[in-house]
Amino acid sequence: MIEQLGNGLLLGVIIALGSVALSLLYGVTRIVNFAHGEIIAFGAIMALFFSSSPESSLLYFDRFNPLGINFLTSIILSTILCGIFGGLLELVLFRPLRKNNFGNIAVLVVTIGLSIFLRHVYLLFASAKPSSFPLELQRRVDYYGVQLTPRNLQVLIVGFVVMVLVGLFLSYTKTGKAMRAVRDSTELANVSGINSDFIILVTWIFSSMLAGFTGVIQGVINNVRWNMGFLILLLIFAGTVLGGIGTSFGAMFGGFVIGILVQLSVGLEFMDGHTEAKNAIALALMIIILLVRPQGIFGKKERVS
Amino acid sequence: MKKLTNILFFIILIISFIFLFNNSGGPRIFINLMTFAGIYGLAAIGINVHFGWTGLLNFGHAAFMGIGAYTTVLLIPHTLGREGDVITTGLPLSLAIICGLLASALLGLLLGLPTLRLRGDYLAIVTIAAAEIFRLLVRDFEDLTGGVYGIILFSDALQDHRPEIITEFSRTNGIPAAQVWVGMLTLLSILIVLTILSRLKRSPWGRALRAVREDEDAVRALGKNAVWLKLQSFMLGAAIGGLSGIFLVFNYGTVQASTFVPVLTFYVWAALILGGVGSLSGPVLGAVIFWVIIAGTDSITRIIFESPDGQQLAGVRFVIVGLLIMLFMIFRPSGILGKKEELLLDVK
Amino acid sequence: MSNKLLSVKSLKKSFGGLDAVNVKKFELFENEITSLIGPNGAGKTTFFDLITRFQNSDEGSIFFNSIDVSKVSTYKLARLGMVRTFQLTRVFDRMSVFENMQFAGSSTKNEGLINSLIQKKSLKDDEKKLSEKIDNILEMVNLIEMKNAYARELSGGQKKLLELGRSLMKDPKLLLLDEPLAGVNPKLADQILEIILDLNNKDVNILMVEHNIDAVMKISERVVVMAEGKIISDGKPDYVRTDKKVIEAYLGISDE
Repeated sequence: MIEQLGNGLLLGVIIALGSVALSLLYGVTRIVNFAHGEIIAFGAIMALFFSSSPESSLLYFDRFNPLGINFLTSIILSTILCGIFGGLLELVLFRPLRKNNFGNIAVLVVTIGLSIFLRHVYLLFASAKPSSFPLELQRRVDYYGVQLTPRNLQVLIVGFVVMVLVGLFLSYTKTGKAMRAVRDSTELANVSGINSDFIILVTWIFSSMLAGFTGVIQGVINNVRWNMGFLILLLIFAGTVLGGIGTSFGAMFGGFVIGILVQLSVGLEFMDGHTEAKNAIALALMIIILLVRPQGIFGKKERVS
Repeated sequence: MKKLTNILFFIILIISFIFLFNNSGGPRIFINLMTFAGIYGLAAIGINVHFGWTGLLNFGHAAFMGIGAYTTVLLIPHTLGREGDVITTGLPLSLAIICGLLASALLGLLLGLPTLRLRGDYLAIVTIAAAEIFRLLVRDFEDLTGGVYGIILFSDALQDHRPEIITEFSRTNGIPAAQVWVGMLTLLSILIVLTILSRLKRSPWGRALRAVREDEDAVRALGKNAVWLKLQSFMLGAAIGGLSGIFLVFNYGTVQASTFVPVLTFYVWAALILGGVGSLSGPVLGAVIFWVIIAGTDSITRIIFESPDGQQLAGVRFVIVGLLIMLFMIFRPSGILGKKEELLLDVK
Repeated sequence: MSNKLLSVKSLKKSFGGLDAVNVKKFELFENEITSLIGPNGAGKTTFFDLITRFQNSDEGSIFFNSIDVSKVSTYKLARLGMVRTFQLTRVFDRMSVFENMQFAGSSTKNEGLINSLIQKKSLKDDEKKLSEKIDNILEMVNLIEMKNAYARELSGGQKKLLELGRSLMKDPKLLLLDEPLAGVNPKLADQILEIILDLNNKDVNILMVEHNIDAVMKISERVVVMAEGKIISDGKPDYVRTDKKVIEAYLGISDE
C-alpha cells in the first residue's frame, strides 16, 4: 500500500488545489460551480498550447500551431489567462444573474450547462487526444519509501507552497481579509464599506487563476485531455465537502485526504480487479460526510438543510 | 394554453416528419426519433416530478433509469458478459418490469432518506456522486451486470407480445417492427403516467408538494412532514425514470455499462428545460424538440466538418445541449411553452 | 387557575462561546396574551426558534401541555397545537391565497400519495368542508376578496394577514407570532391587533415577539422582557414599563 502513497500525494495535491479554488469561490459567492473543472482544463489546455513545439502535431482550431514558449513562462501566461477567463465569466454571466435575483439552484443548473458547453468546445477545437507537456520523461526515485519522479516531487512542493501562499494572502492582506469578510457575511461587509461586487470579481479571478494552475499541475502529473476537468470535479467536490466548504485550510486538508484515500484503496484486497471503483469509495465517503457532518471537518456550521 | 400546446406539438411533429422524409430511409429515421423522444420524454417526466413539482435537484437520474433496466433484464432470460453466459430462466416480463420499478423506487428511498433534508445544491452533488458510484459499480462487477460487455438477447421477452397488426404494418412501411412496438408501449406508458400525474397534481398531495417547493420551513410550521413528502416525490420520479430506462434498453436491444452515464442525465435535463419545467406534457414536447434539434445539429455538423467522425458529431451535439440548458435556464426556464407564473428564477 | 400551556426550563443555546439564549425558567398560561420584548439581539427570535424546535437547544427542556417536546421535530410540534408565524413572511408565492389556506388546513392523511390518487368520497367531503372553513377565516382576516390572487401579488401587510390566516387553519392552541406588526402601516396594525384580541376571546392563546411597544402595552396581559439571552423582567405591562432593569436594557430608548 505504501507504493500508492506517492500517487496518493500527487492526486491529493491536484484535488487540494482544486478544492481550495472551489471552496474560495463558493465561500464568497455561494455558487457551486460545476464548470470549475472546465476552468482547470482551460489552464492546462492553454499551457499546452503555449509550450508545445510548433512542430508537434497539435493543432488548435485546425490551424493554430502551438507557440513553443518556455514552459515556466507558459504556466504564468496560462494562469493569467485563466484569471481573465474567470473575470469575464463573472462580468458577463454571473453578475447579471446575481443582479437579476437568480436563485442558487438556477445558477447551479446554468453552471452545469456551461460545463457541458465548454468541455465540448475544448473537444472540438483544442485537442481530442490526451497530450503531454513537452517535458522530458523521468524515472521514479525513491524518497524515503515514497516513489516519485523528481519533477513530481517539485510539483508537490510547488503545489504546497502555493497553497500556503494562498492561505497567507487570505489571512493577512487587505484584499484577502475583505474576501473573508464577504464570505462570512455579505451584508456586514457591505456595511463596513467593502464593495462586494469588486470583491466577488477578485474572487473569481483569483479562484480561476488557482484553478488554471491546478490544471497545469494535473497536466504535468497525468496528461492534458478535453475532459480532464470533468474527471477530477467529483473528487474535488469530495475534498471540499470533507474539509469543509468555505474554508481554505479545510479544503486543502480534505483534498489530500481524498487523494490519498483513493490511491490507497487501490491496494486494498477487495478492490482487486475493481480499480476503477476507487473513485467510488471517495464519493461514498463524501456522501456520508454530507449526511453526518455536512460542514466538513473544519467548516463552520451553516444551514445545509 | 393546452390547445396551443397541442397544436404546436403537432406542427413540430409534421415538420419533422416532412424534414426527415426528405432523407432516404425517412420513415425509419422518424420512428427512431419518435421512440427516443418518447423514452427521454418519460424520463424527463420523472425529473419533472422532482424538480418542477418539488424543487428537488436530481442530477443522477441515469442511476434510477439504470437500476430499473438492469433489474428487469436480469430477471428475464438473457445472455450476459464477455463469455456470453446464457440464463434461460426468469420471471414473466410484466413481473420483471414491476420489480424494476420497485428497484428504482427503492433506490430513490435509499438515496433520499438520508439526503433529502440537505439543501438543494448539496442534493445535486450527492445525486451526481451516487450516479457515478452506480456507473462504476455496474462497470466493475462484471459477474452481475456483464460490465462493459453488457447483457444481450433479452428483447424477445417483449417482442413475443407484439401484435400481428404491428408486424404487418411495419413490414409494409419499411420500418422495424421491434422499435415500433417499443415506441407504442412507451407512448402508452406516457399517457398512463400523465393521467396519474394529472390527477395527483390537483390533489392534496400535489398541493403539498408545491408548498414544499415554495417554502419548507413554512410547511413544517404548519405541521406537515416536509421530508416525507419529498421522499414520496423522489420515489415516484425515480420509478418513472426506471420505466423509461427499461424502454431504453429494450429499444437498444442491449444493456451496457456505457448506457447509463451522466450524458444521459444531461440529455434528459435538456429535454425537461426545453419543454418547460412544471407542466405536465412539457417534458414530452421538450424531448421531441430536443431530438429534432439533435438530428438537425447532426446535419449541420456534416456541413461544417465535411464527413465528421463520431467525436465531432458528439462534440457539436453537446455544445448545443450545453448552450440550450444555459440559455433556457436564463431566459426561459418555463420552456418553449411554459407559463410565466411558473418561472423558477427565485428558487433558492 | 389557568392551565400551564408551556413550560421551559434551563434552555440554553450558544454560538461560538456567546449565549444567544439562557432562560432558566419560562411558563406560559392559558388566556394570557403574552408579549416578548427586548432590544435587538436579545435572543427573542432564537428563543422562538428553540421552543418551536426550529433550532436545537444545547440543553434544557420544553413541555407543551405537559408533553415533553424537547427533542420533537418541528412539524410534530405544530400538530400538537403550537403554530408559529415568521418575522419575514413566508407565504407560498406561486400558490393562490386559497391554496395557501387549503394546504394549511388539509389533513396529512389526505395528503398521502395513495389517498390522493384514489380520492375516496371522504377526501372530497373533507375538501368541501375545508372550503367553508377557509372562507370563514379569510373573512376574519379581511382577505376574502383576494381569495384567488397569487400570494405574491399581495402587499406586505396582506401577506402577514395570510400567514395569520394560515396558522388559524390549524386550530392552534398556542399561536406564536414573530413580529406580527413589523413593517405594517398603523391602520393595518390596528386591524391585526383587533384580530389578536378577537382570537384571545375565542380561546386561542398568544405569545408574540414585538418591537412596537405601544401595541404591546395596549393589548398584552403579560410582558416578558429579554436582554442578552436572559429574561430580565416578567409581569403586567405597567410593572414592566417602570422596571429599572428594563429601562437600562433599552438604554435610552424611552417608551413614553
